[in-house]
Amino acid sequence: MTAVIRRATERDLPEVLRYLAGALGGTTGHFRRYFDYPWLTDKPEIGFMIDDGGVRGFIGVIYANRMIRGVVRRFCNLTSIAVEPSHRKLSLQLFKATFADKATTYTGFSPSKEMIEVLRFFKFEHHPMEKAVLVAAPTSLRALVPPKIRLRPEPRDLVDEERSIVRDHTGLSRFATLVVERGSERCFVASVRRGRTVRAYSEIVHVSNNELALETMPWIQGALALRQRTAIAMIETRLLPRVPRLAYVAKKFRPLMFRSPDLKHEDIDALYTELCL
Amino acid sequence: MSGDMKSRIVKVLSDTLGVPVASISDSSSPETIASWDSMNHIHLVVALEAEFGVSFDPEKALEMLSVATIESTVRELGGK
Repeated sequence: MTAVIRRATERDLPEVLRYLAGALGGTTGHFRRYFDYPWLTDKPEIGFMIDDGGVRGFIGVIYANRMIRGVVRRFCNLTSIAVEPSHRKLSLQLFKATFADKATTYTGFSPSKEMIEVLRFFKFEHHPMEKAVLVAAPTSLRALVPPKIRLRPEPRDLVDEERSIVRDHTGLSRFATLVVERGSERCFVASVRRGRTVRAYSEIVHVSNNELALETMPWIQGALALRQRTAIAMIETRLLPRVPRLAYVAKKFRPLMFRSPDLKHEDIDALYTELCL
Repeated sequence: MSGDMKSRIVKVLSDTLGVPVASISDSSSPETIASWDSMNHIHLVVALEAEFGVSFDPEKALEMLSVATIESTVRELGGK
């Protein structure tokens, strides 16, 4: 059978999972979570594949519809990419098929060196990834009045978009949200537990009020340490107005890459992506 | 002028794909040059952009699979 490039649907999932486990290493269960994401029940496809009677290459896609500045936008996060050496001449055609919709914002949060070249070819923007790392709450802040933090916010504590975020990420064991209140100010925080055992850390992927988040970061970190059992918290520096006091900046991360018809890099966060799954 | 552009394209192909200039002909393509795979195609496009001072649309760049299509695309874009 001649190799063809086509959409991969739910019906292809068992074979795709076996292919990914063999090509990338890991278990089929590890990859299944990327295609069982809870926020979109009507998924158009799970990805695109090279098919010659068996899977010879695959690009996984995680879609989301997100409200950005009052307009619903379609996002597509790339995940789980592999192509057989024998079919690499079709790789670019596979990517072309994946990026066919000009109205969609495509994101890649952990592209390899090769992937960076491919995504640049397809006119993706490239943003270096820097993260502020917080190890422990400074004792000097203990004298200040702590904010009120709701570790498990009730629906009444949330506004519309926040309620959607909580609902859409329900059931994801590594995902946590909290609400910080200080007087009349409030900040909704979303975090993902990443890494394993003693290397586990909380990655803050969304803050609704970056000034308040910055000022209360030691308490946020403390709350996440309790909730997610982590000693370290990280947050992309671009999500805050400046680096928090006593945090250090780590730079050895793969860059954020995206292509969008109208969104800027400040509109892109890791919610609704493989990082939350 | 046409010959000059073509020889420059052949030189870029040779350098990028690691094959001798003499082995590249009008009928050369990814089917006939084993090293002309997807990653090297990207490297080729980047090298051509630098050589001729142009910027290729990805869709157009994916169609540049012979010396002739590369030459006509570079000309369309006003490559120097």
